[in-house]
Parts: sequence; C-alpha cells; structure tokens
Amino acid sequence: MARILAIVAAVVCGLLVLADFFLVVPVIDALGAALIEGVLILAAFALILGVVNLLGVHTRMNGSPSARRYSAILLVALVVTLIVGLLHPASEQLTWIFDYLYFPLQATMGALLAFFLVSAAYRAFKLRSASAVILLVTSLVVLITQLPFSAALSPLLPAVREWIFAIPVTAGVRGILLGVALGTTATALRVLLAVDHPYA
Amino acid sequence: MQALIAELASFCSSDGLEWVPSAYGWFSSALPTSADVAALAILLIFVPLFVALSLRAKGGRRIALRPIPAYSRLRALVSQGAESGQPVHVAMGIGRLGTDATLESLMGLTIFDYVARRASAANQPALGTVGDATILPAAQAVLQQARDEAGHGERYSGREVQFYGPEPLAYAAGAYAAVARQRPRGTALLGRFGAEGLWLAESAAGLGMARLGGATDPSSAALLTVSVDSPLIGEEVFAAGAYLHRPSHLGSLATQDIFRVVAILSIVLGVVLTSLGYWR
Repeated sequence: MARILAIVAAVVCGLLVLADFFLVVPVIDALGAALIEGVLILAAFALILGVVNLLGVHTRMNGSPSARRYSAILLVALVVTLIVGLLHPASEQLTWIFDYLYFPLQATMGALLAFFLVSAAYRAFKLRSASAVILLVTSLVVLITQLPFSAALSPLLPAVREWIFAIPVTAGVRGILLGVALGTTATALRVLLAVDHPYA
Repeated sequence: MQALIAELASFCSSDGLEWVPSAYGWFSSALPTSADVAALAILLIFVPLFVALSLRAKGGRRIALRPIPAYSRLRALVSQGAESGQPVHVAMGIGRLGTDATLESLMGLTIFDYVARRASAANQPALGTVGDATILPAAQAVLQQARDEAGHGERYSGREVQFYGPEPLAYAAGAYAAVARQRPRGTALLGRFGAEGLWLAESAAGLGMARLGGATDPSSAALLTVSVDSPLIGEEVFAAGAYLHRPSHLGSLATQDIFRVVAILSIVLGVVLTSLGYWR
C-alpha cells in the first residue's frame, strides 16, 4: 500500500510540475511552486537522516584499528563542528575550523587529482585498440598546439587546434548531448507514467 | 474548492507569481516563440510512441539491443560477487533528487536495485555510497525491499548504504574509505559526478578493483572514460534498467532510438539543404 501511495504521489507531483512548465494557471503555478519549495524542505530533513546514517556507520565500525581510529576522528570532528556551529553560528571559531582545517584538507584532496589524471591518462594511452591510438594522437596534437611556441614551429599548428575543437570535439559533444537529452526525456516519461519507480 | 483556489491564488501572488492572461489563454505567453513549442511537440510525439512500443515490448515482441560492455561486466561482477561473498560497490554520486541531477541519480538507484536484488537473492552483503542525503532514504528503501523480497528481511541494515557528506571530495574520500575497508568485487559509478568521480575511480584502480560507470556531463564523462575499465557514454547511462533487469524499459529505449535516427536524418538533410543553398 505504501508503495502504491509513493508511486501515485510521484506521478501526480511530476505531472503537476510538468503542467506548471507549459501552462499559466494560478492554481497549477502555486502548486508547482509549493512542490519545488517542498523539495528544499525535504532535502533539509534528509540531511538529518544522513547525519544519523553517518553516526550509525561509524559508531559500530568493525574493522582494523586504523579504521576505528579514523571513524573516531570523523565523529569527533562532526560533533565539535556541530556544537560550535549551534552555539556560535557565523563566529570566528567556526570560520577557523573551515579556514584552517576544512579548506586545506579539501585543497589536498584536490591536488591529488593531478596525479590521478596522469595515472588515468597513462592507462588510457596504452595502445590496445584503434580508439586508444586516436585518443593518444589527438591528445598529443592538442598538447603540442597549446604550447606558446607552437605557432613558431609551424603556422599551421594553431589552425589544426582550432579545427580539432571546432569540428570533431564539437560534433562529439553535441552527439553526446543529443543522446543525453533523448535519454532524459525517456527516463522522465518512464517515471511520470509509473513505468519506472526506483524510489519505491 | 473555490476557497482552496482563492487561497492558492493568493499564495501564488504573494510569491511574486502572477497570472498574466495572454492571447493564448491558459498557455504560457512564451509558447509560440520559444523552445517550449519544440518541447511540447516532442512530448506529444514521444508519449504515444513510447506507450505503443512499451506495450509491444510487454507483449513479448523482441527488441534487439546492441551490446554495452559495461552492463555485461556488471552482470559478471555481480555473479562473481554472489559466489565469493564480496559486494559490488555502487557509487550513486552527489546528485540531489529534485534538481537537474534527479534522473542520473535515479539511474544510480536502478543499478543499485539490480545489485541489491542479486546480492539479496544470494544472501550476500551489499554496498552503496551516496554523496547527497536525498538519495539515501531511496537507496535504503531499495535495499530493504530487495532483502524482503528475497526472504532475508532480517539481514537488512541501513548501514549498507553509506552517506559521506554533501561535499564532492568529502564524498569521494568517504566512499574510498568504505571501499578500502570492504574490498568489494568492483565499483560501479553511476549518477552525477564531477572530478570526484575520477578520484574515486582511480582510488579503486589503485586497489586493483574492476571499475565501470559514466556520467552525462561531457567533461565528467571524459574523466571517467579514461579512468574506468568499461565506460558508459551519454544516453547509455539511461539504458541501465533495460539492459539489466527491467524489460519494461525496452519500449522507452526503442523510442529513444527512433528519435535519434530522426535527429541524425534531420541533421544530414539540414547540411545538404544548406550546402545547396535551399535553406539558410
């Protein structure tokens, strides 16, 4: 029964928001706006569920001692930030936590991306297939033509780069976007017509 | 009813929304000149075709599918996981339900549904990670239903789906920690991903794990394509259900294909007509 109610609610809400897109009727406009506002409220409540889940996962951690240690650090960080945020919102203490703990950690994680990109490129450039060869050749050409002195090597190189971006890259991206648009339409219709209901 | 309408209309005007009567009656005044016409036209053709092809698929008519290696790989990983007792990790990304990432997130849920059902049938563990709290209850409901239907309801634990903060890199770090701890058979990344998708896929590669997945955003898809073993590109992301365990999705897939052929033919026709000077 709960499942049927969830499906009916999803279909009705979806159709109302779709109607709101095409029609200008006060009642539908108001309902559409209220539903979209409701999503924001639900998202806020979902965050509480997320915190409960995080606490549940890390308070019952059965793993190596190091895993338990990291869980303890996570829980302490969560509780301390929560208390400081609740007691002193928009305070210097809260700013300090973000400026001197959170942002440096985020920057560290971000910096690792460069190395991950290199290792991913190394694997992708292994000449195992025709597409890998095309990927390697195109990447090398674009890399060389991006260099400041490429025009001095040959006046044709900047034109080659322009051509690669304007023709094959644009064509490929547009092809992907076209497919994604069709896929999005089909998936949305599946949800609207209750053919697909992965939420229930 | 009149009172309700009056109440809603007052809410509407208090929210800065006003009903501006137009020459087109109840339709948006922007309709005749904007892309809305195209959207409405596509919808009006799409829906009947979608319904007809879905009924045809439901009636047992065979719809041919080209092989997509990522889905074949996922099937194999899930089977191997059921035998070895290792879960297959499904990373559902950082997309929030209710935003433009909703449909990608739903596809992540569809894959998780498939993996959860197979794991539950074999009474084995499952592992899903989410980067936005709105997907968490949906993923937990999917897993609970899978456990219940397999007759192992007592085995359900909400902790098999893990939430690691709404920040992309925090999610990637948390999901990596979960993967390093549980050593799943493989990782499937499907949902909204940015650079954290590369972070997660490369971390999984470092652990020697099979990886598959994709994203719809071209720049994120490029990063994932070079990083995973079996990439999903563009509309392949939305074909998960039809390829895995939802024959009811075959009709929509066939409709998509028809529209794609029409789009290609239109582009070719446009190029020819423009080149010959018949259309500017």
